[in-house]
Amino acid sequence: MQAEAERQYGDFVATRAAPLVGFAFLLCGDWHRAEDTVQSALVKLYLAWPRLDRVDAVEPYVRRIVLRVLADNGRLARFRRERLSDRVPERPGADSSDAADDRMVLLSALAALPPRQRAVVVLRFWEDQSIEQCAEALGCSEGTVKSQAARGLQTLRNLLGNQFLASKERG
Amino acid sequence: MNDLHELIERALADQPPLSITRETALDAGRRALRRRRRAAAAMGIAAVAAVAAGVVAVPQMRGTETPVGGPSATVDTYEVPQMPAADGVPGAADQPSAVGTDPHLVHFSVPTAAWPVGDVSYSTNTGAGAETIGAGSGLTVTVSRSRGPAEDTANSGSKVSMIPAGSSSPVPPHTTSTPTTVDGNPATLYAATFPDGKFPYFGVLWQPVDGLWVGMFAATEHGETELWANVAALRLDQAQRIVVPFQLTWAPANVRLAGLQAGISTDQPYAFSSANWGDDRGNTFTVSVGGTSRPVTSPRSPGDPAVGAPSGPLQPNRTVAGHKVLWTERRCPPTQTVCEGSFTSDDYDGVPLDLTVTGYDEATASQILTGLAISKDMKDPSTWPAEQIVR
Repeated sequence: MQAEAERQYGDFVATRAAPLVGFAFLLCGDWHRAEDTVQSALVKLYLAWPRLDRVDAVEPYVRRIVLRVLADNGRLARFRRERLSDRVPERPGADSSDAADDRMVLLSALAALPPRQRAVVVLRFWEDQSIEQCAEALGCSEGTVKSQAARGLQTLRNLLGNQFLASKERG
Repeated sequence: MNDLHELIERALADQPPLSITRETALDAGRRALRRRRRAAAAMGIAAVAAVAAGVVAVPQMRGTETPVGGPSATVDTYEVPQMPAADGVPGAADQPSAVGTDPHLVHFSVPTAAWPVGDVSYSTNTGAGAETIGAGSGLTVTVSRSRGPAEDTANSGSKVSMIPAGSSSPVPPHTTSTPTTVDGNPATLYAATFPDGKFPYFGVLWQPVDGLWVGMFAATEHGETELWANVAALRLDQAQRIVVPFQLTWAPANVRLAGLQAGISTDQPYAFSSANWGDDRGNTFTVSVGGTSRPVTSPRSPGDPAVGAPSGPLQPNRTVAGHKVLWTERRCPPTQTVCEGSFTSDDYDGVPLDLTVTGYDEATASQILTGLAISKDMKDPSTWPAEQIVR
């Protein structure tokens, strides 16, 4: 890779690695695996960098790689299985604002989603991706994204509860 | 779903410190790029070369002025492991008629290449009147007495296809051929590129003197400049002896050496080398070390390192000269008698070995194998025997 391209790649890593690890964490539920996945994705990105001619093409591209790496390794389907239980934890009350509790609640809820639904929900409602972008990243139709997003949100509502959502709105 | 967004923000709030930094990512990417080159060279797909990790493949910064033709530029060049010099033997340019006539000789040399060299092979094709040096799969040079063999090498980029990620359909390259010159001689420049623009292939074909053709093929990272650096390195006035790292003390009567292929690896314990003999009745036998012909595993996924790996340990069924080996044979119509047989071993004095006979029986093959001695140093051709059969 040429020096200028390496500089651009380095800048991308410096600014985007942490958010990408967060994205991967939401998909696999484990910080270590998330970082490992992003590291793998960044290596693939390095190899592909010379042919990515637009900066705005990089982020969707690397997200697709993260999804693919997780899928290849079975991590999407193995969402943090060691911490799963057969019941979602008690819904937190209004006084439960501790980040660790929130994380456990969220992870447990996300873990209950099928892999593709989870990926759609994270892409659509955390990464603010359009239906079209989600479809491209996941290699499925826009209709599938819409239906998976709707089902995923419904599942989360059921798991997290309207009371919880209302408390957060008030909080 | 603003609440979900907020919940996610909270969940991510205690993200541990990252170990990924600009520097670690760049280092990992560079290592992967080197691994990709080496794997591609080994698989003969992208035709790029291996990591310059060995003693032999020490990178040199050399200002290549490319006096032979093409664009002028500076590129890194790397030493190519050499066969022993054939002192007193004229080079191809001085005696074109000698090219491809003696399995023990190549009448040219390629001291450096524009890619790090993982392995190099030297071979002759006496039937075609051609000699070839291949530096990995990233650089191939064929010198021949007729146009055909050299042209096949120069234009071999047109035969490569690529399967893009996520697709199962091979994509042919976009190819061009344009006139150029090499040392003032008319030449044809071949180019083959793929949609992703990576690793373009270049080849060049020319006649340095009457009766001699040279075809060169290079996979490049930075383009045509690398081809011309390779052309500049070519020496048509230096002959080399081809030697292989083994010797026989017994062979069937009336056999003569038909071909040699010698391999040297810079980063592996051994490379593939082979020799084959035949007699006037059509009986042949071939001894190969450093690689065997065996079933390989199917790829589980693109880039799977297991691709090409042996499907499992051999199950020996014979013991020859104290070595456990597998004997397999093939029967041919119309009489269904044994017409071909092979002794194969994963580890025959430290290297994979294959002895294949056609026309000879197992007892003869066993006698050949019993007399086989493999060189101790598989990386230094100066220590390899000059003759392959010593009775």
